[in-house]
Amino acid sequence: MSSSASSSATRPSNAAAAAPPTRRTLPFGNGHTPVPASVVEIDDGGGGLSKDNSDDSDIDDPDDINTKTKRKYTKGTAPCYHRRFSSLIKNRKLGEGAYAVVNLGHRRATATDSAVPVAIKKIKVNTEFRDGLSMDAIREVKYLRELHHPNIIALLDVFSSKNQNLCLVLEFLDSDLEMIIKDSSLTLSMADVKSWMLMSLRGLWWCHKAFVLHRDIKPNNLLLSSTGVLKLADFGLARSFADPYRPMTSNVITRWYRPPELFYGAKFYSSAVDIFSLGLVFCELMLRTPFLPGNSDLHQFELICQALGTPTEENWPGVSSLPGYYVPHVDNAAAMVKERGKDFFMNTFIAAGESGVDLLMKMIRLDPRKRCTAREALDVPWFSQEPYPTKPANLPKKGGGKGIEKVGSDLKRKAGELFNSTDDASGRGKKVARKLDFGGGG
Amino acid sequence: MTEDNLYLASTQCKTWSFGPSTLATIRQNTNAAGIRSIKRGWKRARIEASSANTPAVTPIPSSASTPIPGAAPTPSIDPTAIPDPESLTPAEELTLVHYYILRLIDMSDVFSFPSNVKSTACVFLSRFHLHHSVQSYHPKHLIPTILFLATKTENHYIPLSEFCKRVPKLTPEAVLKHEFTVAGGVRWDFDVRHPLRAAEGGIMELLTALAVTANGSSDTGLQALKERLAPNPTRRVQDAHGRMKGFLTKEALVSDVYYHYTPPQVFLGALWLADKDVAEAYIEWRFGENSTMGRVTKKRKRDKRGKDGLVAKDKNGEKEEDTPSEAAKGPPLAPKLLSVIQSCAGMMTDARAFEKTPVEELKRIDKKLHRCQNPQKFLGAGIAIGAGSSDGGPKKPPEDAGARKQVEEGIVVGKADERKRKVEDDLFGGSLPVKV
Repeated sequence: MSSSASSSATRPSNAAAAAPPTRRTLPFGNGHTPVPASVVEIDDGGGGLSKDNSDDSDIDDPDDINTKTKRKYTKGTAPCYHRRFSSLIKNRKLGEGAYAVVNLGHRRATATDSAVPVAIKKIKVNTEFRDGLSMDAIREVKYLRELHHPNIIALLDVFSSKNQNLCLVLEFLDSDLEMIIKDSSLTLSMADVKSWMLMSLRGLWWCHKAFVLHRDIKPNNLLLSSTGVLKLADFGLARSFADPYRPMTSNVITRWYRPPELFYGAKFYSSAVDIFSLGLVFCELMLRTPFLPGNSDLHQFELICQALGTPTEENWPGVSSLPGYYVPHVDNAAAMVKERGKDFFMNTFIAAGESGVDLLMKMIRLDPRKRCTAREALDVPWFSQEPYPTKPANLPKKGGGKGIEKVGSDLKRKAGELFNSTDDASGRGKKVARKLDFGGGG
Repeated sequence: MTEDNLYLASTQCKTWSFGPSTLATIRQNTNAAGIRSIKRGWKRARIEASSANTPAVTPIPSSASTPIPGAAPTPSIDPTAIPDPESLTPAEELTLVHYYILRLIDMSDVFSFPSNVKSTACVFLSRFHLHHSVQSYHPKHLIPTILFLATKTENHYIPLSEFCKRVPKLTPEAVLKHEFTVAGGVRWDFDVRHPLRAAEGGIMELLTALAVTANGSSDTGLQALKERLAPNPTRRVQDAHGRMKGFLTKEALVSDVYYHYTPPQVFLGALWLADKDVAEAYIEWRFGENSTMGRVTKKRKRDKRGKDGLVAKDKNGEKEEDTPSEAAKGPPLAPKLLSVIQSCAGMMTDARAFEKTPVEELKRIDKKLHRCQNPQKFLGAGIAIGAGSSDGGPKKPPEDAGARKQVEEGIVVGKADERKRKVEDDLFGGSLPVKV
């Protein structure tokens, strides 16, 4: 993994790295603009080469570090990747939404390292959020700086562009799980599903271990590298949890993957929310279509009740004390569904086998306290039984350049959704408004 | 996988933990870089001043018969004759940073922000100035930005317009202007590990355990703890809790403990300061002779909780291989831990001295800093400047109202005997509302 790159990049080093002295205004507000004695011409060709004029290189200066970081990367593909990304040479944009633009770029080759393709996610200045760095961007940076794991997308660097746009340099990933699920030309074996589940659970386990909730697990946030390794991405809704007495917003997680406790407005929830979402991804991998595609919050909840059972005090002690507790068709006892047993899931997901169904049921229990943790899920016998999980390199892949286009697809969120939920039904990523948790859960 | 591995992977441990000598070296380098930048500023201002003071335009022959009046003002001072200003020493920089950390605490209290926001803001300021000299970035301009950024990183966002309303003369532009500078200055490491969570957990553990012993327990360690805190152990722990929080939200933030110790060590250090008996009894119970949970590992690969704050570097090859039974054979951790805690506590007590820094000293430093940062004023780039000043530097002309206003905003002015409170008002550019 490239965590070494990220740590070395952020440390100030006056050696080697090109340090073009920058003209800038010091933040004293007195108009004093120190300018270096001599202006070294910026070399745009090779990168990383410069006379180390230590007296001029101002390591004291964050802007300067920023410049150094920025100069490590460039848009477009490195010559050595031209063939692989031939379809992208002209248009290096990988995705665009109102929230950010993702461009294909690469880290310039240096004496020791060859060029590496990267995704540069440029956070747009949001017209509706005038308060500086957006919360999405802050969360994403905050958590990705801390979480280093093979199954979590690597944040290589952060810099600001000349227009004061925030740019995140992310590991370049070819495709995502949603594309795989939707690609009808691919046949997914249970071993493949097992492999993806295993990698997702590993990534999730690490997040939860570090007390971070992802809060937006869904197939198009599970990205796949060219070598088939799955990585959790998009930490724009993540937050830390387990702070005693601190309420959290229940208005998170894309609707189709949202667990029942959040529909009930729970303010204190746990890692079980991510497990539920991943459980539904598991279903989707087997069905090749979303398991519970509700078209409104109410409809979504009815689907949960039908598919999994109606939450009651019996199957979920304490549920009735949640602020939004409600039971669909409460007057009609016949419409109440008992929490589904193994038979039901065995019928629907027979391909998973008995132990696979056991895992699934543990992940999507109604009562969050009864759901398994990521760690427990990793320990289930299913993963050590035949068929063994497929090796990442052998997993089905979306072919070639077509896949690249989807790397930025998790960006199709509207900037305005920070404040007003839009219910745009066009395009799956937009199906559910993402709401953000601003103040301490308030 | 243990808690330790998790902490060792954090940016706080990887990039923001140092031994005392390393920390001093970094500060020395930062100071040197600051001095270089001041020198550059002065050098440039000197050139500007000379060119402004000498007739820059050679009279164009024949085309203009009359010389432009006032084009070349006669220099009243010679810019080259004024020596470079005296720059700040690392110690002076640190004094100023500590002062502004205290101001940041006051500012946070104006908003009644939770301790994690307050603590994060203070750590941001400290970390920022670890790598960036106050000679390049005056903390006074940064603290509103830092506090606002901390509200966002700690998920306690309040709209900027609200934020600005509570601080007189603060504009949204002024806050946002430095946001990238600050964010980049803390290396985008927004996650700060505070001792607050460890503290709440530790106190909860103590109180729960005491509630259990009230009903009789066979745990001898717990009995010893109870006896030591007699007659009313629960009350004692609760009192210590309150005082400990005070240390964690002040002394711990002003001192360097965040760089040298792990969050649980800071917690225990604060607890020790709050009530020696509670801390020692707690450590004895959890890590003492009768405890099986914390032992000095035989191979001395890493002293669990013991030293990893000080030897935070070089984790490669350190694997948690010791089985619990193996660990249990080692000597108890308590004595070792206690000495670490005590040195941590000592560092926090020393930080109290910063609060007592005389106002005159702060003014003296700020005056120096002002001179460093404003070469134009002292070199008289185009402005006639009256000579003579109390500290040897030229004084601003009384008639230049604009420049004077700037100076007043820029530095700690006021009469020599003004109270500290007044100083802090000036620094914020107006009176701060007292605690809400």
